[in-house]
Amino acid sequence: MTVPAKPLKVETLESDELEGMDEVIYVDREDGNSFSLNLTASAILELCNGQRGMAEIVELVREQCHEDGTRLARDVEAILEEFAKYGIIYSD
Amino acid sequence: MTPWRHTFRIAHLNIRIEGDASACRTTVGNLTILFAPACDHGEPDLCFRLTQQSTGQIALDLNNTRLWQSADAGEAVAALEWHLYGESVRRLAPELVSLHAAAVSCGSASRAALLIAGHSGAGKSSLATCALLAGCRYLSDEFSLLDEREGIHPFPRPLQWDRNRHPAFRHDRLTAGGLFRKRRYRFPDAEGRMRTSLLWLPANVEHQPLPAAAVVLPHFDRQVRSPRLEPVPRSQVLIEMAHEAHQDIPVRQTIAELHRRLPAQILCYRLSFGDVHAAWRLLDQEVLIPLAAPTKG
Repeated sequence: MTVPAKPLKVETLESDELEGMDEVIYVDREDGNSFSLNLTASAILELCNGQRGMAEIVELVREQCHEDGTRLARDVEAILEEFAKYGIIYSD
Repeated sequence: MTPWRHTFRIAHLNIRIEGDASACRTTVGNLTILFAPACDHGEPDLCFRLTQQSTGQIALDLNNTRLWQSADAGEAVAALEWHLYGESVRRLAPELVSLHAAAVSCGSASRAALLIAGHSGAGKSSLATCALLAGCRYLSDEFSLLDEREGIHPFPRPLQWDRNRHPAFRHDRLTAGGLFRKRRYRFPDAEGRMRTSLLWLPANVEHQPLPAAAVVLPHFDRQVRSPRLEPVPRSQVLIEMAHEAHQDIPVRQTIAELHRRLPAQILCYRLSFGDVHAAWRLLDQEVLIPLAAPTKG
């Protein structure tokens, strides 16, 4: 699955953090479909605003979690691929 | 015509069903016998009346408002049942969230509840029946009421199956040992044809709320040869159960309510099975027996 150059989160997704569980629940207000993400994956999804490319998203995540650059880039790409596969990000 | 009356409660709701329509009396008694008895004095929260009219019709009223009228006693009782469950669930909100889930105690002596949540045909009632045959106490097969203190309130309506013959349970096995009593219920189906359904009344009924200790999402699939029990994240359970709420609340709000009402440490599993008896043995061995074991320290 190809990751869009500048991924954009589906606008109809609404989120709530599950207090005390380190997870965020997303509900699509159009159809009620729901899924959960851990806090890191949720932070990545929230960075998908259609303006940022992969490199910028990786950089912003790196600032937050102080991880190794190569590995982090791989992980972010894998997560974005999953998002694209499940249709929660798209190319604007 | 002799007046009759049944008074009981569902959670904090006091409910009275009374009338003089003698053709309805026995079935109403069978449908409500498992609920906790309530004080017969004072004004109930819900007062249903089934009265015989001079026209030959039977009228169903709730708090003096006419709900239904029919010449057929079975149809009048079916209407009563429909309104009783719906109105109770509506009145219990927002204090109690009602889920399309079965609930039983985690063992014969356990003071904790097992929730079995899922859509129709997933195997909720079958797993609950296995639990009851194993000595667990009955809370509900359809309406599980969650309070804000992580407790499940009983809603012990009789068990009913779509078909009177359940492929997994022989009638004599159910009634042996006195764990179930069997009653009959005649009512019109959606096409107006009269049908006779069996009501199964478990002998061991819990009347107090129990804290939820575990939740199972059953998945009946006759192709599955050996049952599979897999832990699932609590968040996944919240998401799936949110679609099983009876009250008309948006999914997002239901998830938040369930998050508040289910313990953070609740054990969550998906159970896929083709043979409900094998599934129950696996669940009992892997989840319920360890839950009942005293913890060290």
